[in-house]
Amino acid sequence: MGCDPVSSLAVHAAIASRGVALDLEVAEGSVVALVGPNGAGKSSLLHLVAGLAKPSSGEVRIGGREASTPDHCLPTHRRRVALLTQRATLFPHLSVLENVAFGPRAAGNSPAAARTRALTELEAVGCAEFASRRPDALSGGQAQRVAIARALATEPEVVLLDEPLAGLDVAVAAEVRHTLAARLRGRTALLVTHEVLDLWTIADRLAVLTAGKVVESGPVAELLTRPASPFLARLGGTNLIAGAAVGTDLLEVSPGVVLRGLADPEQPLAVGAAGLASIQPEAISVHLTAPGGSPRNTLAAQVTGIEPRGQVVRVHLAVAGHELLADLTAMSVAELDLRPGAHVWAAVKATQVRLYGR
Amino acid sequence: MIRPALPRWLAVPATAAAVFLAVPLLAMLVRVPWGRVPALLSTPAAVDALWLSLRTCTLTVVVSLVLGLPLALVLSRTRGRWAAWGRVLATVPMVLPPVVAGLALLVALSRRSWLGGWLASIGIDLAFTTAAVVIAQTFVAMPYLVVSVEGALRSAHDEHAVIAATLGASPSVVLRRVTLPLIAPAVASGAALAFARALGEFGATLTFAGSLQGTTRTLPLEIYLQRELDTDTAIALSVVLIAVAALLVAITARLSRGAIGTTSGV
Repeated sequence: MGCDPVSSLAVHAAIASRGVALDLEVAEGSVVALVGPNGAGKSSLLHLVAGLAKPSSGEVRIGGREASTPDHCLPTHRRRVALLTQRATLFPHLSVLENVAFGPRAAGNSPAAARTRALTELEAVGCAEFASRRPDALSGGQAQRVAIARALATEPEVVLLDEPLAGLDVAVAAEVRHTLAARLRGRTALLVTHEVLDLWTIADRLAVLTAGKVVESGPVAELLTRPASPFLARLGGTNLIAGAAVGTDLLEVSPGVVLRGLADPEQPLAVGAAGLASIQPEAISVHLTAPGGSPRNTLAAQVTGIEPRGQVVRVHLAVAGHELLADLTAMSVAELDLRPGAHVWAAVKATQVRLYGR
Repeated sequence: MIRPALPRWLAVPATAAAVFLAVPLLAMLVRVPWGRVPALLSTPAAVDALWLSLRTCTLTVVVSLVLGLPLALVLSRTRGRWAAWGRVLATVPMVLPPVVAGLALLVALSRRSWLGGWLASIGIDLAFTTAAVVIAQTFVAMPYLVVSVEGALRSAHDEHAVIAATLGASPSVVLRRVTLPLIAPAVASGAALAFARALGEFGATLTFAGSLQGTTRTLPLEIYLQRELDTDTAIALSVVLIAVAALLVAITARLSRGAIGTTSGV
């Protein structure tokens, strides 16, 4: 198998019984977020790397070393792969310090060296003061921080994170996310998440999995600002409309309906070729009569759904055969008397429409 | 939470059941010639029986731990037909009439059997030895340890073992530093149950090992022998068994509470 020498991790493996065939290479020091619907193969990918699942074909290489083939699987404890899950899973019979020292001890360090290492890691996650506590005396956030310290105390080659913040309160998750981002910097890691904030804060690359395959991968900023699939657009919270370029800043999204926008210089439209438009939901305004004003796109729309989301109301619109989401204030939804089925006009400034080629 | 009340009339059969269980024990305690108990327990026959029971039951627990713990660990990880057969094998002696267990051991290990004959040919003769007592007791008592430990292993701790492996712990280290400490309460309560079962063992011991004072005549056998000849001695020895049983029940109850405490942790 051809594998890039700078890759710290290379997966080119299938598990027939689970219906997955995964290909992913991760450069050293890169944190790759794995996103995709449930059952897309994210857990299988982590299991393949951790040695908890065996490939039926292909191979997994960690640090240039062969880790898994259908014939031979390096046991989990010899892979130098750390795993963080939604639950902290601290050993209940050991103190916090002993939990963190567990890995260094298993690697053959003296008790004193392991304790020193454990204390350093605990300090790095702000938990040194809990060193002598029992795990059941910790809060959820503290326990997860200790789990981070414990995972990193082994100097892993690859860190695997399976929704490590999903079990925490929003406020606590925000703090632990910050710690995690700081502690993972420069390490090779795979992060399974459903939270777009995790992508921006912790990850630098993104891999999208669908139906057992890696269908897209690239830098987070690139994939989220110029999404190429409805899944990525939804993840990044933008509307995505596909069409054909009829000018350098014009996209025909259905026969006779043309969107004017700003062409992305890094991925410009090619006239005559397929193109995409991405529009933030808050950039769309809704009117009962067609508004004037030149640099705007005004499209006939029908309300298909109304979904209150805290401070804003998300209005689902059917526009020229596409679904558009618009975030309005509750007051304007009430003033316009919007309800499903209502015929309205959707308006968006050309400067708020990002146009790019596929 | 206040749960809906039970029907009041349940108190009548429930009280009857409690009285039914308490009366024989109370009757015996009333009948004990307390002043003579020290003298009754220090006759040579009584001392021999007490000492033999203590030794054989301790050995039974040791053998059950050495053999039963590995069996429980393997069973907890085995799936499919072999595991099902293994579980049946591990539980049958619990429900087998002890005299049948003793007969089975006799058939398998007597000098006339293939295995017993082979053992005799290399100089091992089990008939009427203390070793036969330990074998009989282990056969009926070890399943209690296996079942107790396997239940604890199956209820949880897989996640801890996986995490320990990702931290670089080899299977032996995972077993020693994670799995065994986590199931320690279940091991201790299983050992206590096995000890209690071994202490009360009568039928299998009598059938397989016989009743030789100081060699195979354990406490229950001595009590059975004395029940008509010297009822007071039989009762004094019984009180010892009741006290030990009560102690073991208290220990296991304490341990199962402790086990709940550890599994509810993070």
